[in-house]
Amino acid sequence: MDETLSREHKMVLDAVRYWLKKQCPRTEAMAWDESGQLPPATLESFMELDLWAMGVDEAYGGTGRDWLGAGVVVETLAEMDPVLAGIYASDVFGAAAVIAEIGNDHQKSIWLPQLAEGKLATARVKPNREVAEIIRFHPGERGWILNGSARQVANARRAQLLVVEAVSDIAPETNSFFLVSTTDKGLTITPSETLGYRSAGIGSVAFKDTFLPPEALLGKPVTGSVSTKAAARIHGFADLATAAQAVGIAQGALDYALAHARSRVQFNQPIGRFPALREKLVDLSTAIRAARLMMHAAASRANASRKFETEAAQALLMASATAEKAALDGIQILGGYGYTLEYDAQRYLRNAMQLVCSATETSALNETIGRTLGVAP
Amino acid sequence: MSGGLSREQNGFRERVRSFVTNEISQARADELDRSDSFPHDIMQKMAQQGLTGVNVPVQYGGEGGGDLEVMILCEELSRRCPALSWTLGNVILYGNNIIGVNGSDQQRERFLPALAKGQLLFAFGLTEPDAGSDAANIDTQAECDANNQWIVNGSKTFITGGTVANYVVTFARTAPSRYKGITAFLVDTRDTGFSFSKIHKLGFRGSDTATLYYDQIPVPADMILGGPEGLNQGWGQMVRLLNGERLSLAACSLGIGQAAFDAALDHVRQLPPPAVAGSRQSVEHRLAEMAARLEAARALAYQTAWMHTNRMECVRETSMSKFFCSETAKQIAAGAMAIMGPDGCDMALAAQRRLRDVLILSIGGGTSQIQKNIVAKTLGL
Repeated sequence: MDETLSREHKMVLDAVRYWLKKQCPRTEAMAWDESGQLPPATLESFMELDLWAMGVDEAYGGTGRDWLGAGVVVETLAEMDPVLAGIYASDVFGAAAVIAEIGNDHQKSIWLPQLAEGKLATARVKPNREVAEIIRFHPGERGWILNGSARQVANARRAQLLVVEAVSDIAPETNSFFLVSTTDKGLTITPSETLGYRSAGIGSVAFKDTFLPPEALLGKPVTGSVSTKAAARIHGFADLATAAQAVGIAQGALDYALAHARSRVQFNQPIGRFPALREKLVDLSTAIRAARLMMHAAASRANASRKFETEAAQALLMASATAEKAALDGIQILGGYGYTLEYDAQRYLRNAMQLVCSATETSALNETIGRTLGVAP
Repeated sequence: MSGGLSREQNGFRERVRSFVTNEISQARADELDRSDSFPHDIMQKMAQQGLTGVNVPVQYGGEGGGDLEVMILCEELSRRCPALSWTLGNVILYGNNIIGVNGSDQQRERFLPALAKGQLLFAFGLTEPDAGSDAANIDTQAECDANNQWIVNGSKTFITGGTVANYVVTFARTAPSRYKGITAFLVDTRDTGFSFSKIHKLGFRGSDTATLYYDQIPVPADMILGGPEGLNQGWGQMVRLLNGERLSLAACSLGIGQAAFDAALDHVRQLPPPAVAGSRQSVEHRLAEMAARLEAARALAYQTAWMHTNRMECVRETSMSKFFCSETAKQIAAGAMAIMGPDGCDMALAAQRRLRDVLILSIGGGTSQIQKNIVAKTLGL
């Protein structure tokens, strides 16, 4: 918990924690992970928490865009179940933020009110450049044609609306964003079996000469490409959302290991009191605090309409490395127990690695931060 | 890798490597991970190839190899399917090695020929719920009855091969002394007082791990490890096995680390060339670091094996090898996944399994923390 949070934020968090305790106890979260399914009743009850309004302006039925508030919600959910965190993050940071940032009035008035109520399931389709994924578009007859694919898209199998990042055949260095209904023809979503986020409805999304109407394009209708500045902000929102999940996973893994380290007795004392293990726990708590404060600072800058992309990228680098370390150390601290599926340490590891592999594009983050430092093109 | 190994040992490596290539497909390795059931079929093939007898003396029908051959075997199997090095361990480590090092003449004659043929499986029953890192804290009891039989009661946990073993080398308390009151019994699992429950694990699946329960199991005195003279000698017998065990676990780590590195390298090679020359540098350097660490780990482990084979004092070095190789392989397995991106977490590919597998190697057989305690002690601290 960050003492710089406002009273309102703390109240929201209390509500989220209370809901988690009631609706998402550890045994349930583990069972959903094992089956790869989230019960519809849980999702419904989750929607009733009314958290989505935090990502949308009042004019469109929200309570004003509050990235810090939404970020700490993501973080708190991820402590117990990053899949729920990812659903919320996708809708708020991956869809509402993007539409508010570059959508035209018509697009905003159609989509944002639904998003504010949490009634529109979305997925963010961002090809991973590091592994040479790409989605291209070109103008077609009265619309756009999309080709290409992205793998391991979280929430793809649950989504009604995809927010797709694509590049133009003509200007491959600029980004464009399309809203694609999952019922559109020429679009295939194939289930992916992944190590982590197993109940997140992860899938590969492929476009093959997929036709989209003109209004599917977010932003300027002529060239299709958004400004570099807007694209950077959109990437910043995605980085914030991932960083928040990573902070939550790290905190959850640490708390789980701590409970064991305090109660497991070997050589006549709780193992956490052995200096070498204590140091691991201390280092993790320190790194998690740093990552959390970095994420909160970046979100606060976004709230203040200041540049925040570099800070968000830095927060993600820190948070992602910390989540991996916390999860690995968590298993080591639990020893043999950490290696069994009966204990939960392994779920944190699988989720952390999923985030590292499919949502942390280190080279892109390095470029974002490097540009600010004057050492990247 | 040929440095320091004899022609025969390099030949043995080639033999194991071609066995793996020909007999253990990637699909079979995946299936083993999915089904999590003990691979009796592959064990049989390994027996036919003489691998179950690799470290059994020739006079008992084995190949007469030692801990170095066991390392080579563990490393090569682990490149494709680490769990097999443990299922084979139920013969070569917990059978051949325990009986070979500590057994009485009678026990060697009785068990080694059958073990060499792959007809028997042994498990090593030391760990208990409250005796993990603190292994001497065991609470399983054995008491001598009027017929000079020992009656064993208690439970063991995290026992590799506990569901399939014919005999469990069971460490039980036979006197109050912390270290000199422990006896190892060869417990026949056909006894009605023996039961188990399987533990479902994150990795090394197919190598069955179990919690074992002993309810009034009678064991004759000649089934004490080493014969009746083995009474209260269990701790010392166990310590004599540790150097070999640490080396074989280091070798499993090397195999996993090598496979993880190879996959990451392949992945990067198959990507389209970078648009801007040199822009791939940071990934290339990550791979360079992995390669260097792997070489260092392998050099340490095989140098130590050479010391061990030549009967030099090497407790410090085996402990170093155990933690250094397992921690290095863990780093490499995780780093390889990050390089591979979505492929790294794809359940249809082996990268994620390597990380799941490698994590037990810094825990089982003495955690990295315990190994560092030992190293510190040998440094005079």
